[in-house]
Amino acid sequence: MNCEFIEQNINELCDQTAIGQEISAEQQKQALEHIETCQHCKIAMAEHQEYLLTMRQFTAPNLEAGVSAKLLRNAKSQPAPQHHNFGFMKGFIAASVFFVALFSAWQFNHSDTAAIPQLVSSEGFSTEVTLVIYVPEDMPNADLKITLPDNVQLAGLNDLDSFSWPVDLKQGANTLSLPIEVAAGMDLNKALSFMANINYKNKQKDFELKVNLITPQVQTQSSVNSATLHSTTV
Amino acid sequence: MNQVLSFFIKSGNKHAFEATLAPHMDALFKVAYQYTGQKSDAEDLIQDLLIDLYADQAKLNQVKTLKPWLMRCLYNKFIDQCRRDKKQKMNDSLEQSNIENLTARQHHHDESVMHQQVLIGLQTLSHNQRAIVSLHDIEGYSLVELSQIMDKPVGTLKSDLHRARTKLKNYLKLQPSDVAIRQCQ
Repeated sequence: MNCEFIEQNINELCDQTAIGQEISAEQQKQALEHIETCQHCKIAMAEHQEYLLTMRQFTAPNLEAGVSAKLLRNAKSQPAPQHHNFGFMKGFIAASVFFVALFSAWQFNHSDTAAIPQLVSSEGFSTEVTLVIYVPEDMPNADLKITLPDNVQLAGLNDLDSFSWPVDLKQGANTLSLPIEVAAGMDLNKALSFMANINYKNKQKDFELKVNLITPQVQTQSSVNSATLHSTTV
Repeated sequence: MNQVLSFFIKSGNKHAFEATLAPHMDALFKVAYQYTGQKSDAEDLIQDLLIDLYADQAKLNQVKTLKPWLMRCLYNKFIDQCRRDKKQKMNDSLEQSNIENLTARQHHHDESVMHQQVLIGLQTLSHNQRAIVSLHDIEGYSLVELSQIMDKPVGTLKSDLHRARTKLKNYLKLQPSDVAIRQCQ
């Protein structure tokens, strides 16, 4: 038996219910014998017992008369709290609405050409899409996963269908630029569908990012306004 | 008819909410007071907790052992509040004048001084340590019960408790133990 054992098990030695469970009766007997002969442990034991007594004697004040009823009454008249999940959903709803507005505006500006199939030439082409993701709060170290649509590859990484990486999303708009390669034969009148997933604090959200592309040739002919719109997704 | 029935159901729920929680209000307040160190902050903490509980009554009604569950909710609410309030106004504003005026109770003077020492000592601990000491050493919860309330392993709680006690003991040791010494000052 030594001072270290006493220091580590001082609570168990003071707690009769711990004898036989945390420490054995034999250990307790040896410990008490040690305490009798060791001045350091004797003082430590006395201090611990005094501490426990002090804490047990501490009494917090009672609730004043009527306060309990008032608190319960107030709880019922307050609006329900807004949870994080709800805010998270609201952010994505806002993002969807924003996208729909942009997408509709682009369609309106190009309604005369929308019905004509516009196929990518046999060479394909490279471009850059900008994804704008709105989030309702800061989301540091969130995991963002993007799954690419068919006939689209990430420039320089041709064998990847999907990829994920940690991102620090800030409250409001977050723009992410992706260099992509579009394969030949795609109909540019159909929006590309990028599937995205955000994992933040073990909460996941799947959403779809639709992107309308135009070929570099058309891009040079288009106005500055439409060029800005086509690259903005969500 | 349906409207009449729904009125009675809602009315019944409201009464059930009060009837369910009223027996635990004092216990919740005492622990909230130990967490926050101030009566008004304890009441605010309880109020926030009750608003959450009222919003999710279905969950409340499913709980079998209510008191430990409420203690867990209170602990989570306290930690959330501490994280949200990064300035930790609870610590900073803990001045002698803000503490319950227990010294006014002259006939319990030594008890009052000890009360204040413990209360201020608790504020020197981290939020987590304060919760462990409050629930274990003052309220008498076992480490196993604390493990359920605070969602931490018993071993972690044991070492946290050891560190908290060492800090609190050192603080209390520095205080004059003889009440007469204080009265002379």
